[in-house]
Amino acid sequence: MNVNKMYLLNRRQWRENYKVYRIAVLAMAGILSFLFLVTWHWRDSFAGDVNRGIFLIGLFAGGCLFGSSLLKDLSRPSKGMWLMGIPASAGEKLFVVILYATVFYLLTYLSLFYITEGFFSWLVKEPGMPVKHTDLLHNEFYNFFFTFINFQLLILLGSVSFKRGSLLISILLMIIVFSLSYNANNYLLMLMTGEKTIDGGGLYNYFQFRHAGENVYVYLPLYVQTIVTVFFNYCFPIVLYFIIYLKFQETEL
Amino acid sequence: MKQSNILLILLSLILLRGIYITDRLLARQYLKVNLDDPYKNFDSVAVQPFKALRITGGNGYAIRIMQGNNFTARVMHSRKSFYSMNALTDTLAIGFAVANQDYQRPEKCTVGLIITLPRLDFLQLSGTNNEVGQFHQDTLIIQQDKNTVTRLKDLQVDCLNLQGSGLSYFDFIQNNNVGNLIAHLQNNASMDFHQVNFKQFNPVLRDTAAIVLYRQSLEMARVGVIASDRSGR
Repeated sequence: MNVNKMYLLNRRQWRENYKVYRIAVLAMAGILSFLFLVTWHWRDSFAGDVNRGIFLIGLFAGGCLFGSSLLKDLSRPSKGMWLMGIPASAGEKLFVVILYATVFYLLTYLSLFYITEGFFSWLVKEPGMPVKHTDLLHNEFYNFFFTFINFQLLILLGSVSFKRGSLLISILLMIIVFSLSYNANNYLLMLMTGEKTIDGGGLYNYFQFRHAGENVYVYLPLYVQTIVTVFFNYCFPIVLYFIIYLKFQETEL
Repeated sequence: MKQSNILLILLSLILLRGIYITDRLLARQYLKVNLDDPYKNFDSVAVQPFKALRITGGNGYAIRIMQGNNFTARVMHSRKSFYSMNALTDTLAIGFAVANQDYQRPEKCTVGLIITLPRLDFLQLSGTNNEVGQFHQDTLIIQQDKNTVTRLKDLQVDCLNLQGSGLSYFDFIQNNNVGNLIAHLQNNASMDFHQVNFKQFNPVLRDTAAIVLYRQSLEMARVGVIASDRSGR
């Protein structure tokens, strides 16, 4: 991979789209302000850590729209040809796209979120009360980062796999696969354990059942939990990257 | 077939196989669960003997501190990663960094940490949601701040010293018998006398601290005239 070429690809991406990105940043700030306003105005109905919820909604909703826009040229042969014609390897082009979809987006979104939140908190702060900021580093909340990377890669995989409506198809597929596997998993656990009251759980993680009016939780042994975490946080995105790379290369051919 | 599709199918097969393997392991763990054990959702953590206990953290899960024969700490399986501990000579410092929320009914929160010990001299709480109970001893000092809520139940203490600041709240919820009750409250700290018998009461209140007394509390203290209204306050 040639760093100079990637720098040029990055400049091309920026030059071509900076006007749209400027509007997108303003739109995102507007949406975030609106969400802060709604949850603040009806704060009695929104108990709990609302700002983290807003953070995640903005991060994922904006992220998938932005991620899918990066490879939208591939959906039309005429535009796709032009993208393919740029003298850089598939790996270089893909690297820049992934850089935009994950690192650049995340950094922009984080600064945008804190600026908007800071401004809003200052606007509605009550005298004598300290201004609260969303703390994303405590209570393992930073795990959102790994989920976000995987999510963006799945959106990009959708972009290179489906010609039309790739974003909608990808999101629909994710919802279908997740709900199917969730229910199938509970059913499988019911068969394996003979426990009829299994009413929830997480794939590759735990399940819960009811006994004498209380929920009983069954967890995987600690070493298995570590293996699962390492697999989904590190191995899974690398494999996804390779699949996207192969798909992208095949489209070029 | 395209290379990418082969890799995609391979990945899907690994994920499906993973579900099967983890489910088999979960089924094995399920057989180990003792349904009669009241602490089946908890993991034991080894603790050294201590006299003073300091807990800081969040209020999303309640902490129960009670008298028992041994020094034990039990953490809910799912909250284990939020638990940290540091032993200093005779003090045990615990961090229980669960989420912080503005609960209207903190007593409804699930208990996430249970600590038992034969005798507790000093308890310092910060930001947590607690239930302290069943201590039968001569003295006990509880100090709390930062929105801490502490429900006291089944206490039999000769001299109970409660110190609250920063919007913290003490609530005597059930069957408490205290000889000398000392209360030092400041800022917006408050205390509620729902169910407590005491012989002597020495309050020191600063700023806008508040104590909610009931008619029976005053009767117990043998205060001369009781002006009662319909609510019993």
